[in-house]
Amino acid sequence: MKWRPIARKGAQVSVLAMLVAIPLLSMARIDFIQGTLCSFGTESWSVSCPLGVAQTSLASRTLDAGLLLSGFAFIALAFVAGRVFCSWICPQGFFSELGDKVHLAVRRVFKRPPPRPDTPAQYRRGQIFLYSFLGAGLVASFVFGVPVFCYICPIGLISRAIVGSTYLGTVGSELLVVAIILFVEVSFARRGWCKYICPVGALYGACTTKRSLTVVRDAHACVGCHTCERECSMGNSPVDDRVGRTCTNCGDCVDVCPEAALSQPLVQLGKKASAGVSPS
Amino acid sequence: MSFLFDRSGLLRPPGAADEADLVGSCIRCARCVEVRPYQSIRLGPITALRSYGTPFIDPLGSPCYLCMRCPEVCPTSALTVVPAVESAMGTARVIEESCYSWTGTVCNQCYRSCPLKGTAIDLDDLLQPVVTEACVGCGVCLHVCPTEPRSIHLVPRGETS
Amino acid sequence: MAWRPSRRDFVKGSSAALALVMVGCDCEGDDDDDGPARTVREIAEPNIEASSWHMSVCPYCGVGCGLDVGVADNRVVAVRGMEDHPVNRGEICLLGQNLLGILETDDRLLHPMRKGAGGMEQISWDQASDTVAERIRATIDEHGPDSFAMYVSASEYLEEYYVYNKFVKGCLGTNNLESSARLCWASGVVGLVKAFGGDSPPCAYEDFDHADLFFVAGYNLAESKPVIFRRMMRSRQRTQAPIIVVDPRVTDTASRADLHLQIKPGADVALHNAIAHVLIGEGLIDEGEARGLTDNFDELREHVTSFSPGAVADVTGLTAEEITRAAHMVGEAEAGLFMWGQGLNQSSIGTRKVTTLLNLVFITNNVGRPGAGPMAITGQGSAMGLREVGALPHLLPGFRKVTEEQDRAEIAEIWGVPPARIRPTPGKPISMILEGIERGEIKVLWIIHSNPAATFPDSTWARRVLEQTEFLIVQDAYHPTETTQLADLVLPGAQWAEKGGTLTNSERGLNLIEQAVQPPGEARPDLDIVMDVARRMGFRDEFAYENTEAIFEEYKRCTTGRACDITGVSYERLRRDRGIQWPVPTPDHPGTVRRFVDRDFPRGKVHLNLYEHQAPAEVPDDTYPLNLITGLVGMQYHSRTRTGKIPALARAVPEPFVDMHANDARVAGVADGDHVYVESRRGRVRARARVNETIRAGSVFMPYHFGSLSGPDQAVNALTIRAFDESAKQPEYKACAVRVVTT
Repeated sequence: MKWRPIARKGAQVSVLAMLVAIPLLSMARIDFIQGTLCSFGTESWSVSCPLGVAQTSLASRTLDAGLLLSGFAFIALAFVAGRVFCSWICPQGFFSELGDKVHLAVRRVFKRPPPRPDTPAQYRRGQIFLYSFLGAGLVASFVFGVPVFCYICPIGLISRAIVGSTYLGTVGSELLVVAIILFVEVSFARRGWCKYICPVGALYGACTTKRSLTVVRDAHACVGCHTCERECSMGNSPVDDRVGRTCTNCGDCVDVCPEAALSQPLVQLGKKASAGVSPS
Repeated sequence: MSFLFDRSGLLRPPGAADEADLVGSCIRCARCVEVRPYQSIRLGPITALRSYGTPFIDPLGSPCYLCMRCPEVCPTSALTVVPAVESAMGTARVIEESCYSWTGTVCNQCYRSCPLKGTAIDLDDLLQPVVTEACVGCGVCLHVCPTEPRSIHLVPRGETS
Repeated sequence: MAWRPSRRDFVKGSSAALALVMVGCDCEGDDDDDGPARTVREIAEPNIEASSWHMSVCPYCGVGCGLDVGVADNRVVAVRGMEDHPVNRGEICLLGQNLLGILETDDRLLHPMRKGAGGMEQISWDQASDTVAERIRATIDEHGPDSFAMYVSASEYLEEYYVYNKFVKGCLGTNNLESSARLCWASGVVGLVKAFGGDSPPCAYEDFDHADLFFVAGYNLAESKPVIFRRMMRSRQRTQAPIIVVDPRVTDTASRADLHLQIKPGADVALHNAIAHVLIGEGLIDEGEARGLTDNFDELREHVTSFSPGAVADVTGLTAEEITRAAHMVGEAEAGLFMWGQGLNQSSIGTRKVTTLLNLVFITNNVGRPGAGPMAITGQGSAMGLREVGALPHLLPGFRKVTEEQDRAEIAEIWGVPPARIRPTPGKPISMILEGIERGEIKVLWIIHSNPAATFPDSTWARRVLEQTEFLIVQDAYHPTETTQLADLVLPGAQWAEKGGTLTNSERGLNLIEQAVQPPGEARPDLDIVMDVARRMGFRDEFAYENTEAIFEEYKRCTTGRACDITGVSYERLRRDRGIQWPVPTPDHPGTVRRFVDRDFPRGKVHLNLYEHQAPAEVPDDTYPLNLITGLVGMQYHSRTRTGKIPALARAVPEPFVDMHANDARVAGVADGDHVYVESRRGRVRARARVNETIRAGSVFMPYHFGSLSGPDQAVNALTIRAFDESAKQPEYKACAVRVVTT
């Protein structure tokens, strides 16, 4: 029984459960912790979304040591383990993966061919758009004096919708944006938000280095069945050694490889990733 | 594009930075919403434009009771810890034309309910309520006022009327 | 009234009047004046013009503000203070201003109902009245008349009390007629009787305009009697009369005092004796006058020698300087007005507290002069009236006593009943009525417009006893209340404005209340309900009245020659001379503003009562370390059967709160705003903690208005204790032991 899929789904569900539990516990007088994925913490420590830290620092034109420090936790995580936030923590990632299953089912129903991984050209175009969008948003935050991504970031929208409905009994329009994103993804842009638009993912992707956790292929064990690239919802192709910054280290390809040719070694000190393409 | 630079007109929690700084530095995390013991802070809806996701208080629904917990949990400089008397949220004003006590019905619930009783609202010699400079604009008086519409008007800081 | 000004006119007029005042309109030298012009604010349904106006009095507190009630299409559509009424001159308070909302609530009781297998079932009036008559007849036949009891509110009209009295004492032959004034002013009245020799509150509201000292003991006037409080403050603004307030809490009244004695709860006897000690010891009184007024001055002088300010500092929690200063202020006053409330009355030594305060009134000669005397303003609107009419277990109409043969004979003659029918021993107060039910001695209880299931102390016990009553009849305007819920039979009674009669307010003033609208559904005026049952039991001749006025005329005969003589009053006269104060022996007598001007006391002289301090029945200990004080808040009244349904009044106090001192909060681990549980040996209440400086360390305060209908763990009287004043049997709501916990 593979433990990783269970653990990963468990982690994603736990995050959603925590988002619901924190306001409910607070109402029951258990209030040592408050917050959402935009920022959470206790009296002694805080962990904040680094993109939020970046935007608000630019928007308010101030640097707050405490706030900057609170943004480091997820940055450090990205340095070490790549975009694991996206596959283990992010609630939008959770819904997006579910949406992807729906997308695949719809394709089968309508007898469409299975999706193909990104070509190098597609990957490059995607990355250019992704980081332009990130850059434009940071500039806009500085110019307009508000953290502009927070208006559309599904992580914040889902977090605040949960707080609104549990704590205040209100339902806002936030979830409309999330619904639109999921609809578009299911319809024609598989994991499109996560791959091409999400500035949070972009930021974590930019933190990955040669030494970060990634998928590595043992060329001798690999038989070229291409099962891994069919499994990957983010358009990567481990069989062709094309694992880029869109990889969220979900490990699904590793688990599905019939020859156990793929692995995610935790530490790659001093050596280049063997047969893996270093993120360009 | 003036709507991008509008003042929100919202009543902010105690210790709030100026409007421009607040909408820039607030990370929209909702920690101030969740902190106990009261549930007075709400988040601005999308129609609040620049104030979307930022904290505000609607005194008609639930006023601020000056427990001063919200700045303690704010991770940014949007809300700063200050003493209750320096909350600087706004100023209340008694609408004497409709206030019971000013028009022949002895009431004074605003005076009685004020968390800074005796200093922020006082009663004159004829037992009519008068708001002083010490008012921090928490809105409890507006909430309890028994007239319909209320006979207290709350002007958030930075606004003129 | 010919001219009915619009609201705008009034507001404009009031602004102009206020402006004039600011400019400095000088109204000195006018005895009748008490400050700047007030305004009359009308609350009305929008867009509906009243087609007729009726005289009325506010149904809430004992001040008795005059009201005009505007009616259209059998609905009350407007209420305003009666502009030229001597009590309030057009001013009313927040509660009176919100009377429009109490008549058309969702829970008006519209039909008689009987408890059946599936809950309350509607029955006809015939069935209901017959059932009541049969049950009363059966229990009297089988167990004797004392197995029946009637408990009525202290807000009924004189005619209603007269009918209840005649029915219970004159027809049924039991003296078990009790009223909720027992919970409110029993100690005060017994104190007045012990001191004066009779029940005759001597003062008038006019005295507020002439006093040069206000002594306010255990009384939160600002919230309980707002109109009178404003009158007092207006007067003080003019005369600079100082205010002394004695209260363990920093109430609104206390915060406007010149001297606030923040006394330890329960220590009033020691304080009063100490003030007497200073007054006598420092020669601040005229001993000759005191001896002439009282019959035992030297005994008092002897008694208070041990009560020096230093000696009582510990038990009162006050400094010797404060007590001495208070005594000096009392001694210097020419006309001192002394007021007290539940802080003194609602205690196991209430009578002691009241009489020792009255000692001070007497030795300073503060009787029978404008501005001087003991001002007893009752909590409910008819708590004075019911005493005159004798609606208490030991009384008969005209301040007569059931124990006096002559009194019984006189009343029996007027009632047309055999004198032997009226029992010579007093009936039971409510505490003993409930105990009597528990022991099986009392089988049938008829409650009229009162809610003891919410307001009696140790309310969990009270509810259990009421539920176990063999046959409980509850007559009320609303259902459910905590008490109607437990009834075997509920009868729909009329509410204020739906029935007519007369009321006596706390300055002995009579007022006529006109019936403005018909009661809704099948509800009927209360005396009609009782008289119907009485007739079905065979007492037709005794209740053959044409109308309410005929009842009043018969009652008048009971007062001729008595202290409360109202022979000179009639409905016609009350339409002109509103608020005329008894005694009024003849039709051209102008009424008696102040009593005992000629020192004509019932026993010749007044009596000084000598008492020691005694601790409350239940004091804090290690398990329950805090003292609980229950009391009112200004926006609510009693058990919220009316004010709880008006959003404007209910939103300020949506749930019970507990005021705590910061030290006690810290020890209990409680922060301001937390939901906590207050527990006593008898129950627990969930409340919102308010940590502030209005309460002494060691005590907590909770508003008493919440009963079991407000929600689980919301009945504040589940905490209080069944301890009663030794003479007056009034409950001790101001002292019991509690603890505050967070889980």
